[in-house]
Amino acid sequence: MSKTVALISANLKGFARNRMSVLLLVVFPMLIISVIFSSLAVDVPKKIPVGLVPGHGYEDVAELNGAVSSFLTVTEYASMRGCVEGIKDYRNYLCIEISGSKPVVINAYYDNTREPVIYEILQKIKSAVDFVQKQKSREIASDFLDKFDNTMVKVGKFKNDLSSIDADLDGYIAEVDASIRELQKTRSELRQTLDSMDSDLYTIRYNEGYLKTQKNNIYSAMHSYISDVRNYLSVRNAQPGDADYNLYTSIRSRTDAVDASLNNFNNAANGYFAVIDARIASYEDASRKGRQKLVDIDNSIAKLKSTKQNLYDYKAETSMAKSDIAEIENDFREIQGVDAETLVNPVVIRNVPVYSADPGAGELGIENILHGLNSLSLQIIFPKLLLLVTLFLSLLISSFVCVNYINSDAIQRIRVVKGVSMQEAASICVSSLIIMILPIFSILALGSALFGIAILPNFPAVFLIITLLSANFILFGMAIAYVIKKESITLLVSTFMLVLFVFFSGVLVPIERMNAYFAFVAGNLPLNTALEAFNKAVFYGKDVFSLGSETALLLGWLAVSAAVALGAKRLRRA
Amino acid sequence: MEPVTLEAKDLAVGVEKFRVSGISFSLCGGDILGLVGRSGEGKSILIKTLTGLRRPLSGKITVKSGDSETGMAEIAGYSPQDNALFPFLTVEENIATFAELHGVKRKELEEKTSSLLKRLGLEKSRKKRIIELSGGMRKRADLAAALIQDPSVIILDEPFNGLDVSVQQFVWELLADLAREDRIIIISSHILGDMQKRCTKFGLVLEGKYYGTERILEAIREKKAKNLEGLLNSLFSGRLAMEEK
Repeated sequence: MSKTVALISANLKGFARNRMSVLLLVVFPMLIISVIFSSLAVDVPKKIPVGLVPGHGYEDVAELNGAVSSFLTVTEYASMRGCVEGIKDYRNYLCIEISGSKPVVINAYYDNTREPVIYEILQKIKSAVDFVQKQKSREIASDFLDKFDNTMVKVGKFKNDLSSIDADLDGYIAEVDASIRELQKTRSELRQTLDSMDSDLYTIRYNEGYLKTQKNNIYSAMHSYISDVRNYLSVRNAQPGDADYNLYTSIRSRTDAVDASLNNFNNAANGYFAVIDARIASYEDASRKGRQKLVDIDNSIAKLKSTKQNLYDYKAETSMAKSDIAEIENDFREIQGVDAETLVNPVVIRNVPVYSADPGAGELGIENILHGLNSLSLQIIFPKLLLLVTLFLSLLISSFVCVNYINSDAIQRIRVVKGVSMQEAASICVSSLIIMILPIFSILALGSALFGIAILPNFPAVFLIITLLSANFILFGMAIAYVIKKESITLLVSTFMLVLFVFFSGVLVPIERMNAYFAFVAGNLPLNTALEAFNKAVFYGKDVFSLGSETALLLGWLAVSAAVALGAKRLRRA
Repeated sequence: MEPVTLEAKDLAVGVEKFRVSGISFSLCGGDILGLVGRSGEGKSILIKTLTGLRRPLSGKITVKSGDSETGMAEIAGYSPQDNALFPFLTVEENIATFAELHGVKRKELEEKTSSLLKRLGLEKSRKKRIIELSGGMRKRADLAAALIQDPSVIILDEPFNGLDVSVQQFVWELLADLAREDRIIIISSHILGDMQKRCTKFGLVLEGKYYGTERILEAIREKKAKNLEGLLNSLFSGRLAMEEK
């Protein structure tokens, strides 16, 4: 370890005291970095000229002009042809034709030789249009919501009325219920009375029939006796003077009297029976009428029940009405809850970016929105810039330090010492890392200060990623130096390798455009792996432990780079 | 210091198409072996092989310190043709770096450095960077770096290139002192007069072959040369050959 430290110290002192190397590998890169970063301002002061051709249906041209005036110089054209000529003369970056209101259609004619700028401007214009649209929508929605509030009051009153009706219906239902119960009780009592009366009538009629039969039997028997007596008398036929003539006449007169009495009695009894029958008939008629009353009562109960059912039905309807009103209220509340855009546009597609570049800004104004867009575009560029600079510095510094070391006079004496090969390689690697600290930390500080990238809160992860990436390319640069040994050619080859790495970084050509094999390789190269890990750390606050797979992959590459570097050192006896 | 011996037996050095063979010699403490030969004959390759920087093609080098065999790297101090120093480090920083690499204890470092700087006349220059020194002072600093681990064998490859006579004499005096301390000195140089005067043994590298002291003395007699310098001048100019063709 002490030997490694001694060599690191010698390397670093040698580097630091060599003004030219410090100038070329630290000051010059930092100067370039400063120039690059200071050229990327979040609030772009330069206005970009664009042409505007107002189309049909879009009425907010003046407001749009106001919204984009901070970053665009808008020239209005009567026709698209004139505007496009402006593009060809490089007077305009693009021509916008805005038409319609729902939705707003933006036709953008642009010079596709300046694509990256155009897309950014288009994005900004879209944001400005969205903003104006949203402002308008808010005004309309505000008016609408005022009216809506009144409607809500009316709905509330209607709901109260319905509740009152519901309560009344409950009262009616209770009253009908009481009437039904009363009628049922009356019917029950009447039925009992009628049943009792019918039973009595039956008994009376039975007894009457019995009495009639008995009377008729007695009458027939008595009449038969009287006939017999008369027959006896006719046989005797006593004449006046007969001894028994008095008796005879007496018996005959008495028999006539008995017969007359019997007939009278019979007639009287029949008269009584007729009266009884009439009374019974009268009672029976009353009973029938009573029974009819029962039917009437039943009908009344049925009617009351029907009424009750109707009341229940009304109540159900009022409940449904209340429920409908509640639903309407909910719907209204939902409508009250939705924002202006949703209210105005029935379908609102919202792209919700997961990362917010400027979370504090909110949506307070177009300036803030554009500031956020600028911040975002710069924050997205920053990791690529940082890692590309890391790549450049790692490769160039390590190959420079390594080639300087292996060509230094001191190497001849160092090589005489046995068993320092690993320490030599380690010292170059660590020295290169230390030399890189200043420029890399400067970039991180610039990124944090100028672009508001969350580097400090995620510093452990950022530090780990940068260190692993740097170590990877440092070892690779060392391998190049060990293989080539000559200073000029080493730096030339390092530059070629830089081009290769930059190409496969996805900065020049998106990885998605490469064929499957190269896309896979490029996607898993240290630069892209580190880029993903870095983005995860600074944009989404992933800590060191959440970056396990990327760290493992970078460590894997580190092992490969170390093996290549040490293999080259051994093979070339460098 | 343990008595040291160095023996090379049937050594061949170089690469496949360029080789120097027949290298055999035996040295002990106090010997100064002077390696002579024309430029490009292979002296430096032989020296690098002796230091361990190159592997011999064949043969064996045996180094003994006391009774035990050891490696050249453990006991050798090496001063190559160009001064093997970190140019942007000071004299004492260079010495400290090589002391660390050779495992010199830190407690002893200051004392050894001071003593060495005094011996080499570098006391006033200890804080100066190598690039600020003259050629002579650089050579002294280089020797200081070579001697910091107190080596038993000191190997110098063309140490006098570009040095004025006074520095050359200083170096020779130093080497003589070191030899008197029972160290083995191996030196290559083109300054034949001093080599003849100062060295106790010689090795001639010529046309891929190595000729030891005895063969050289024999050749001086055979070729009726005035001395070593005369022999070599005749050999190098092609007027004489070591072996009959």
